[in-house]
Amino acid sequence: MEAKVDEKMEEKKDAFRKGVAIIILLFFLTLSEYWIGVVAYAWWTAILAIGLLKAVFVVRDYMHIGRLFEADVEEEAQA
Amino acid sequence: MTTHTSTLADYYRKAATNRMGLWLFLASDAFLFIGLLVARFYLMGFQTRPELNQLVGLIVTLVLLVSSFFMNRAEIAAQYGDRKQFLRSTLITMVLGIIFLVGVVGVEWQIAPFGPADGVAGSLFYTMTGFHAFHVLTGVIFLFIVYRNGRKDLYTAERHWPVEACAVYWHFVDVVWIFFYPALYLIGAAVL
Repeated sequence: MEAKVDEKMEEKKDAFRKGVAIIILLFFLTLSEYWIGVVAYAWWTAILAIGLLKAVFVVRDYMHIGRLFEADVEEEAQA
Repeated sequence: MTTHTSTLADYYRKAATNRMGLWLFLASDAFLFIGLLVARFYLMGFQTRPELNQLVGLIVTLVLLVSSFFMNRAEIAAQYGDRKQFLRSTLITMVLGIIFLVGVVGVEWQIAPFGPADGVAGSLFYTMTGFHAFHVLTGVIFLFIVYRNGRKDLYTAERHWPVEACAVYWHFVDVVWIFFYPALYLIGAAVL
């Protein structure tokens, strides 16, 4: 029982850590986007590519799009 | 008399259906924003953009990104039954959303050197930021409802679908801004 609680706590900490890693990544990507925009606005492909990358991280790691394709939610609930 | 006892399996099944519905709604909502983005690049091209304050743009963008981080934190906390962290993170997300709104509507709209009727740049800027700000406002109201219900202890680690829905909607609003920010502030040379 105690081991299960510890496991849950560890899972929660891992999820928090992942959230922190993503926001740091988004922060640096935004700064690089800003820098390119100010220094060389004509590089719109690079700016849009960075935007796309940021969106992928948010959709995958914050919006959890993967949950849409999970088939085992009911089994989890019954377990 | 018939009694309905919702088992956890039923709840998860319903949540899965609701999740699909929410994503379909967001997909349809995305078409509105895609249309606005297409209009922006069709009318102004890749060589010009509206004359805007770069610092305000960067700050509001970072504020919205950080709000997404706290929203994610709130969702994780709800998922693991950490009520205190959930309430704190939801409140921070709400405050950051309001700061974003103030930054765009209260600051950028006021200092912009053009009005909504002053040419293509003005029309595009106010339409794009206006539609987006309305979505942020809706998100803040949604957050307030979730926060209020959280204070009443209506969510548990097993049953917290409204929190997940609120989080997904909030992140969607963030994703829209991820594309609006470069389109309005970074790509092209500034024109009035």
